[in-house]
Amino acid sequence: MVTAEKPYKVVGTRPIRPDGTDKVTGRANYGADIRLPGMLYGRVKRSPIAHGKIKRIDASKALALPGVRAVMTAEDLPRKGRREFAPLGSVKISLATLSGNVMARDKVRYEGHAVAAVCATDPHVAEDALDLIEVEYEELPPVLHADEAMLASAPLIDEELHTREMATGESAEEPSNVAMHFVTEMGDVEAGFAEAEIVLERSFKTKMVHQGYIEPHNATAFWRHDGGLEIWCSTQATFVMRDHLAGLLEHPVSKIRVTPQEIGGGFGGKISVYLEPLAAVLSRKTGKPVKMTLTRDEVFRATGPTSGTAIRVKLGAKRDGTLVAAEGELVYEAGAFPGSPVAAGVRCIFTAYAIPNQRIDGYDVLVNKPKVQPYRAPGASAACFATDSVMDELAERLDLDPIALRLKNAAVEGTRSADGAAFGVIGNRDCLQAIQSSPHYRSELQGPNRGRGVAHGYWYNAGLESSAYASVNSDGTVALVLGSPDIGGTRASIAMQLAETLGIPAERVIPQVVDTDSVGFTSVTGGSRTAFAGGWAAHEAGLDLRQQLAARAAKIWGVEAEQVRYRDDAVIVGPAGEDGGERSITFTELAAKLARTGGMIVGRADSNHASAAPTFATHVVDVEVDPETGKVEILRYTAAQDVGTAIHPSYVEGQIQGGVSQGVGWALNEEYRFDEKGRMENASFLDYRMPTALDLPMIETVLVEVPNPGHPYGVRGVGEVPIVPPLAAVANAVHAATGHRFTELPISPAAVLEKLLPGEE
Amino acid sequence: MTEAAGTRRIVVEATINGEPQEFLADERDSLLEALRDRIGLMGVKEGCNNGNCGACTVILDGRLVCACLVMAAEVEGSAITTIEGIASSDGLHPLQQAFLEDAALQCGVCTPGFIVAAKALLDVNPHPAEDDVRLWLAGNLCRCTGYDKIVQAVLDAAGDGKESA
Amino acid sequence: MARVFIPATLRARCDGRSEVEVEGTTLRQIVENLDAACPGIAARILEGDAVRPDLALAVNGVVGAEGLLERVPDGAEIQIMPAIAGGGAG
Ligand code: FES
Ligand code: FES
Repeated sequence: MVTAEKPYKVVGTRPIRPDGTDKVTGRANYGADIRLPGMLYGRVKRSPIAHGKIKRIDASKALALPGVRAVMTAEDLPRKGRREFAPLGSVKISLATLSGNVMARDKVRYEGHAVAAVCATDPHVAEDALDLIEVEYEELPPVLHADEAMLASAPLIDEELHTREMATGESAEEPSNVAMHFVTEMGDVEAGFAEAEIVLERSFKTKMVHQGYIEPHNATAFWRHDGGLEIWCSTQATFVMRDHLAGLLEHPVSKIRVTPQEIGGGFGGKISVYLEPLAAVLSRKTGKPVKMTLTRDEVFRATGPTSGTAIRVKLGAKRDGTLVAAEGELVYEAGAFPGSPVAAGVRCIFTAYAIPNQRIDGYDVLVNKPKVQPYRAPGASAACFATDSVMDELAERLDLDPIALRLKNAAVEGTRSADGAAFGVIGNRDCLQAIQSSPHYRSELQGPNRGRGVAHGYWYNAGLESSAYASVNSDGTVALVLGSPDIGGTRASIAMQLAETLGIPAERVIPQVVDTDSVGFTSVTGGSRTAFAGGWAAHEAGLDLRQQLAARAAKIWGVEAEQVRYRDDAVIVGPAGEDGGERSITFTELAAKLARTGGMIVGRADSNHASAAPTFATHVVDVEVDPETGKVEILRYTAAQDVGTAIHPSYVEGQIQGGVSQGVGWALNEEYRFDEKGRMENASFLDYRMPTALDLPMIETVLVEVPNPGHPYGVRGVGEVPIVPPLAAVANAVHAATGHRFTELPISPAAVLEKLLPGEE
Repeated sequence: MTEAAGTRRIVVEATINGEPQEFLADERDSLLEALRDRIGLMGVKEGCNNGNCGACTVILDGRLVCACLVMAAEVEGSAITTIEGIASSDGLHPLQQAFLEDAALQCGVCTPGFIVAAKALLDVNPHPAEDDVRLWLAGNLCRCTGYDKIVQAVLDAAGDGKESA
Repeated sequence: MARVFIPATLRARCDGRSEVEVEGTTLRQIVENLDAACPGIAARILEGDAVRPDLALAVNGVVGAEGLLERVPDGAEIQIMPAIAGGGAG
């Protein structure tokens, strides 16, 4: 369902994606599909313990195995300083962290931490060689939970880490596992709570969960004899990859070329480097191309999940439901190196609501678990789980409809969030109202053990740099060159925006994702920015083409360029000719003439637009809880989302349905389980249970289109916010079905039975 | 590839996508490794290598199998259909067309497995209900789509009445 | 004139104020003038010649790409916030 009429011809239609045929016939080249002559196969030796000092690494036996060509360790990587940074979108990331996570130096910080890498002529031999690399450790006690890690008595994961106070930049005297403390404050919280007529304070916990993309990480590197380094991989960010490699290997950016392959899902988890620098060093050592792929087990143990969290939320309200004060404390596990998404959690936790007095504290805490990486709306889902669970209880206590309570408090244009920023045009209330009036919410839910829950979430979005080149072909098509890897159909949505600008059908734009030497700097495919920023760049390249095409027509007609106009229907019109008739030529006719009238035309855009494009989502879900088995079944799910303009509605719906599915998995089944020594117990798809087709119903979507005034086509990122409300929505529905509040995720059958079964508490 | 320790080559004969073929494999190769690394059928994807994701789904002598769970040596004399063998010279299979029209793929890495599995379903049950489709495809993981559009595409392909024999 | 929102932990440097009005048409000028009003605050915001790597200055809620060269329109609101990365759809 789409709620707005638009004045567009291409935008809002559902053409078949340009890369689709290759993907349904098995011809598309993903990262692991690369095969090069003389290629070697690399594997990574990993730590079997969660915390320990590396005493000795001896690779001599491995090197003696026939077929083995080289072994590398951290000694082969330059040592990076703590305050050396590499760019990552609008953020900078410490090269010491990156390098230390890519391969352990001196100390292993989590089970699965890379300690060495080997390459051989055959993948089976490379695997055999792993056992022959001898590593001696001095085991240290692991720190596995954020609350223990914060204690002064906790073993230190990094002896040189001191808690940094975000706003002041000051570091604490004593070393600590707490990397960073954030605090945001607005109004007078104490006065606010004093004014409240009802105050609820609850604590919540979520476990580490993984992005769960189906394609494991991979990288193929070839270090040429002239120093040129070629990388093929599936990454969300080719240019970020290039810059990070340049920093990690101390190799000039101009000598590194990253060619993106098709990428089998990322969700934020395929921005960071893992294998690329290892494959590069092994290739340098052998003079041969080296291909490395992770196993699923390695993906779980050694790539970034998102944080386990402990969140305390306190809300104060008037008896009519008006929120007057909020306090939040967010503790996020960063894994073994600093950098959890707690800052984003702090930013998002109360932002959907207008609350005059707030204080929010956030802690980024090291534990001996894999270094976390972004996962769709990073940090926001757990925060929303906490806030919207308390909102649900508040509605119950005050005997208010849960949507009505949220509508009463929804942030609107001009509302300030705790960091002082005021909203522009937003679709916050619109999403709530869309659910309120949806057939699902208005339907009656009947039957025993059933319940309905709602939740409401927020995510900000970012713009950043994108480049696009568009060249007109003589047959009237346009080749569009992009720097953003296409994960979920962004080629289509970007091409559609160029087609709209030029007034031609979508099929006439042929998009291509190219390597880092072939297009200008393009930032991460992430933060939902690709359709937004890539589309903006394509639009600007299109405007450039319109201008050049008009100028060419003017040249052909012998008139001034200012007299010629490119109309939105792709007809170029000029002043009346000698015969008195208006001169005109279609885009296609002109395209055929370009070669003979001065050459082909290329439109360019290097665009860098910062624009706030906040998005909101309201979800409603019906569940049935089986009192015998504890299993929670999803009966019906509807998601309303403020999507700005839906460029290709099918892919917008798909993003929402995918995000909901991941959120339902997070709520009900997914979790990293560790034994007491910090070894992951469920590193397979069999034991880490992600939703299957059988676990979900059709997911209904309501696209609320409140165009973003800061974008030529009104685009807002759509891919992040769908994963924000499901955790709370499902928990609230389970409460409605059972009468029990679940403050810890996942709400697994065992957790349900524990609450439902009578007997000892 | 040079000989290396622990590798022993075997020759396997099988009919792959209708073509009788003879290929060299390592005796430790799974069918998945042989199809990808030795024969170059890269449409068969690896997601887990232990039978839990369905990305490597192929049809082996009429049975749906995970290629990662079968040894290459076991397929001697068998007939195998991979994603590369689903379209015909006349064009895409109705399932492939439906996947495109219904936007049933995002990243697309799960798509070959789903299409091969769905073809096997339509071969035995040309008009499945939604529940039949969900049950049949429960061995294939997709992390991008939430399955909605995949299930819809299979229903649409079946509804076309064009499902292949 | 721009309105700078002061984060809680920096308010001590600004006589406890949560907002300070300063002149300036670029973020660089804003930070310089803010430092004149709240001595020592620039040292907290800058590292070398740039905004601290883990911090961001937003103009009207938007973090631009031009760093201290970012233009500040009259009447703008400036927020000092942690620099945070996005996630990734698809
Ligand atoms: S790779 Fe065979 S089932 Fe996953
Ligand atoms: S489309 Fe990406 S896993 Fe299915």
